[in-house]
Amino acid sequence: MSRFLPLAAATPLLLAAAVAVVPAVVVRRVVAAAAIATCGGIGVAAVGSTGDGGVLATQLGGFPPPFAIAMAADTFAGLMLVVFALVTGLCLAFAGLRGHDGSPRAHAGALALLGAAAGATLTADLFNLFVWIEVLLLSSYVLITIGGTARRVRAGTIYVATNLLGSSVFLAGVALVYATAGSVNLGVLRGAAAGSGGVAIGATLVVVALAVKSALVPVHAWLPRSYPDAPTWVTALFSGTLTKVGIVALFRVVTVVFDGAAGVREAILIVAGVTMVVGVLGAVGQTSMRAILSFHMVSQVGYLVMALGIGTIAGLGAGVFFLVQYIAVKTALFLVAGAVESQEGSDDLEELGGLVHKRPALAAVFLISAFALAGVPPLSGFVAKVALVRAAFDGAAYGIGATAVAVSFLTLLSMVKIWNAAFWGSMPEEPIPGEPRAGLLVPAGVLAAVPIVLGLFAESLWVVADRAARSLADVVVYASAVAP
Amino acid sequence: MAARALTPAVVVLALFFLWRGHDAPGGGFIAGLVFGAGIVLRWLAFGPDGIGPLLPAPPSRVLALGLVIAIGVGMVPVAVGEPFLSGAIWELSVLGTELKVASSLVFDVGVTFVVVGMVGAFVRGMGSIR
Amino acid sequence: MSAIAVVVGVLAAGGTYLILQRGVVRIALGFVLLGHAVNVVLLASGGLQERGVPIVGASSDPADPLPQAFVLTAIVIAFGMTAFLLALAFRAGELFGLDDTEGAIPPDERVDRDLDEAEPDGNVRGGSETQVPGSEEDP
Repeated sequence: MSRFLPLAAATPLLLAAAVAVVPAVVVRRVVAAAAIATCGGIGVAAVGSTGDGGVLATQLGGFPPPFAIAMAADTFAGLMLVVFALVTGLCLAFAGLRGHDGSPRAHAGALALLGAAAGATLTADLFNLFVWIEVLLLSSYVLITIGGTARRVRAGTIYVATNLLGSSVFLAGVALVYATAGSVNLGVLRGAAAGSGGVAIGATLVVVALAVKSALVPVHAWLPRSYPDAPTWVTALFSGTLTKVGIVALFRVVTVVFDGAAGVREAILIVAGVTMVVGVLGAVGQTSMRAILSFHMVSQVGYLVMALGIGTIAGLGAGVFFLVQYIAVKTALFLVAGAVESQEGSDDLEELGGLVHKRPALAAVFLISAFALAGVPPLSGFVAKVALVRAAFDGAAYGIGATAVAVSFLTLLSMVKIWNAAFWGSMPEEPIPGEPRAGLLVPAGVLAAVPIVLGLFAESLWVVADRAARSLADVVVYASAVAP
Repeated sequence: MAARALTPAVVVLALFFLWRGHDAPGGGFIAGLVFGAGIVLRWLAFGPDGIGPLLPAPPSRVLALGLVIAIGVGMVPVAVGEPFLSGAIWELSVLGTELKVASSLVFDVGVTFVVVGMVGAFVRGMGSIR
Repeated sequence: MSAIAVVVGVLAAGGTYLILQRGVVRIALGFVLLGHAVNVVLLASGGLQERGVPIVGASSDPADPLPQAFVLTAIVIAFGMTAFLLALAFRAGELFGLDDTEGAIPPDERVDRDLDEAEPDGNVRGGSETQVPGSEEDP
């Protein structure tokens, strides 16, 4: 099984290149579906065969460890592959329904993004992680500037510049780690930060770079300035994959290289709290749905790294549970915003109103996703947040626990603001002509079912999330599989 | 004139680097850059239409083909039970000469195509800025 | 050793200065300089003493081949990134008449959301998504 792991990254990349030159859009869609299914299938198989807490690992090129580039999958990595594949598929489906996948760049970019996300999730090599993140960013640069309008070029420039700066920092960190530890293999680097100042500094640079990619405060400003200007389905795709790859890598690097050192966790908790508050307050001043949602994305990333800061198995498990359901919820919200924009001609709150009468199904999908985001019972967001806050209090991290609860209420207020302006109230007197398309709501509807199912039957995901947390925390097993 | 005369030399040099790249200085990337330098040279000498002999297909297709070759050859070993990207070396005897052929040569060919496509796209896309 | 540190410092300072400018071309050049600074750091990570070729049996004191592979990969990636940034600058020049993307946004685009269908082919030239995956296989 383990030798098939690289295919989760290689197949989407290969087919991305292939679809770039296929003229027929139908063929491109079928090929994209095949690539996504391959990636997701490998993820399912990886989750299935790591149930005993084992780790699948393969050394690329058949070179001996620790000199080869290693790829490894534990339950956490497998689960993320499944989620990334699902989100990519639904976002491409939305693009197809919306008529926005006419350019070959749409499919090629989305598949390259998925392949790179899979590669970054699976790799157990710091330099290889850098390469995957670059592939990820380059495919996202292309997606964000599709169409080449003035707004997108400006958004693209901010995005590219910030992320390139992050990449340079990442690379400098890798260089320092290699200079002091003599290896970039995560298995060899297990707990190395504790024994060597050079490794600790290098790994900190890597963590800072990953914080840029994940949009943690104070290096978050690029995200709300660029995401709202991309095509809607691209914003949704980015929210589900791009920033989350940074989080996944952050989880891996911090647990393995720092081995859960207390000082690092405290620093992360502070960043998490500030990120939550700044993100949710930033959303207050925004008037378009996608801009509000983009600021909430920053805020919610705070919850994810909060799990990392707590660091206990209960905390990590809650984080994994939160991550999975949050990706579904957030992508659903962006797809709803995209549907509103497509059908009403704008997603600006001042130009909307009365949608609950005009499009009740849309309103229902929005309401479910928004409540799940804020953490209203019985949806999955509630389960995730209760678990997180409880883990925080159990770990004596009272400050962050209280912040998390307070920010949840502010999130709910923000969602109510969208609801009041767009769905409640009276319809605008001079509506902008939109272009309604059939079935546009289906991808968002599928994703909105996730918080309901996971809220009512939380146990099913909880078992997997707990296993994923144990695989993250048990770095000895991971290290010995990667560098035996 | 010089550009016309240098074209075959550039092609031969690129092929030479590609061939010796397995265990001597050279390789797919260098070969692609040398080939790309030839494209740029012809563009400078004859204008946008002059690169045809070196780059008869659209650059994006060359690039995609290279990528398919490079990743595809990495997948072959997986099908026969070896790790991704594993290589093999064959010793051949051609016309009485011993030749060592590595499977990574195919990979290098893919890399060359990618680099040539990249340079071509660069020249085509931005070479017309006034 | 200290000469290398000075080189890295100068390159990083120049790169940072250029990245803080408004024009995209200057930003691109800034990243070229910054990339060089990081590449020198990478190269230095393998040790700077003069050593033999890194081939088994060819030298009693072989150099570390890995940093060179790192640097080559980083150069290839930087090449693609620079191409893409310059393509963005080119497009910004077409749209704004200068490469300053903070310049005024045309009035008709103020309410622009994405009702416009994505154009079938390349406005942003040079950096297509497919070139990057290739770069990583290189060394």
